[in-house]
Amino acid sequence: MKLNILIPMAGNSTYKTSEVHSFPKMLSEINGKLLIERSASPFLELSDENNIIAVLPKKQMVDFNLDKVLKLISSSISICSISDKTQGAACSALLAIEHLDLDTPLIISSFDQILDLDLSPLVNQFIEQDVDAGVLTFEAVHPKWSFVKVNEHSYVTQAAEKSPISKTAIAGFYYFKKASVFVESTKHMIRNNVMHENLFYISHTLNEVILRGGKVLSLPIPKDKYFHFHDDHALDLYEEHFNLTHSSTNPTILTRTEAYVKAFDSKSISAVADFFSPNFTLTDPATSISGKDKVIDYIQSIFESTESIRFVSKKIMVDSNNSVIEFELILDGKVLLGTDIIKWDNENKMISMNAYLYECNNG
Amino acid sequence: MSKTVIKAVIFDMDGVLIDAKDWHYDALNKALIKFGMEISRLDHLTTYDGLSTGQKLKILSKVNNLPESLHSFINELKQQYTMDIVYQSCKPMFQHQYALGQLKSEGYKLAVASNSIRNSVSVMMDKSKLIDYLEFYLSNQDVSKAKPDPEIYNAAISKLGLLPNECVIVEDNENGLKAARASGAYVLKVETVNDVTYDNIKNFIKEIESEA
Repeated sequence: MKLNILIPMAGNSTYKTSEVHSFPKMLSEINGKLLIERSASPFLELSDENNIIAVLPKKQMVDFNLDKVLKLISSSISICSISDKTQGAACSALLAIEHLDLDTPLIISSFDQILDLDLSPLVNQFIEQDVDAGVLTFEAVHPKWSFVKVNEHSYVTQAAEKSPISKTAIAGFYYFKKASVFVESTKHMIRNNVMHENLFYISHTLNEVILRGGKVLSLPIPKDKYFHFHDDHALDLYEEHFNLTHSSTNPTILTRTEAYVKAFDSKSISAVADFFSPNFTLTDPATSISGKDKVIDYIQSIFESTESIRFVSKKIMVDSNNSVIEFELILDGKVLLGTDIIKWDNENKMISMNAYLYECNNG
Repeated sequence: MSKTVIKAVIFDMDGVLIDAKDWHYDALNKALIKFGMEISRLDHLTTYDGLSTGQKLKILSKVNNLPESLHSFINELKQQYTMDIVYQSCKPMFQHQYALGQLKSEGYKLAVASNSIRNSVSVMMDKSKLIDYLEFYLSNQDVSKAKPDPEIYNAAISKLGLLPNECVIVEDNENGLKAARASGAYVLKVETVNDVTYDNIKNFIKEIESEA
């Protein structure tokens, strides 16, 4: 299904510059890519059929050539230029009304943030559950976010702007079953003059959907997949995170390696199995086995053929997608020393493990 | 030739009985500001003054890319904000109550013909305490063509059961004056609501009747 994807970009904070940053944050470059490219990427990956509309304030669009930048990022992005003084994102979004197909679903999101995940299963869930509206959410309590109260069926019962009415914050992603649902809800909100600090917010349109009997589904996403650039500090944090996850000290791989050591030490075959990708290959001095199931059988046979097993790491080293465990393995009192060299995939599962070990002669 | 006798006075409302110009201006801007637009005082005086809300929005669509699909919504907001202001600011004016009261007691039939919507006319006439002096009022919803077309004045004159030359129309703006003159009635032009006094209207009637 062809989707409307609307990105209101008229907020004043979006274009803040400083002595350090002479261009707006979205034009900051991180590892060869602009932030705005990284923001747009999950939406471009959804499908190239979609109708992506960036709503830009005319002045800043001209000052920073944003229309040209966006067109180069993807030819499927169209531009709607508006005034830079609208009373909030909901009004900016409404000004794009003539760019929307009112009868097809509408996603409203932001390029002041990065949703570092595959959006298609989430969007499909909104569509399949046939809800009137939906939001992606993450756990937070800071009052800078928009929040929703959610019932036991994950349906939103109330949305609030900049007020933590729960721990469920909106991750800058709204879904509407049809663009017309958004348009009508926004009109109701403006008629009722529902403002926060003199601005009309997208979040409050959810309340209008709810008031008219509509169902609004909240789908949680992991907190570490959502980055919002409300200030330079947040930008620095993202850069730090990016460097961590894409350089020699990957904290996730370190954690996964430590967890694997524990799982093996606990002799739990199911816990160990969870670390292997389907095509996992284990090579040790005795054999080389490919395929997750075969490796599990092999490890299971080791677990079963020994009375006691201790697996203790002496040191773990991480280098990009690899980790190395220097370990001590004690099988029924027999001490073995060795190293495992593990290669990890993007989902933090093991692709391969090369085990080297020798018997420690206690004399 | 029979002597001309004036039997009725028909009033335009905005700018004649009600000083609503600023209310309409402020209300439309309050709606437009939501979308980052505003009509400046200068643009208002040079371009927009005297136009209907619909005509103003058409200009804004050409000049400022205001989507035409939002015209009816903005118009609705503008009406809502106008009424908010009316409820707060529309008060009776002594000279108008006195003028209409005197004229009515002397046997003149009085009516209002306005380019505003019916509800606005009704509320403003009520809040200014003039409604009881009127035979009726006509709004833009009672005619197919608004002023400067004379339809609304023709309709008022026929509803009074009179001929055009038995009626005086009190008007202030260009479009209204055009409509009034085209109806064939006698037209009293006023600059502001303060010109709408018993003496001014009565003198005008005397002048017509003595000249004829």
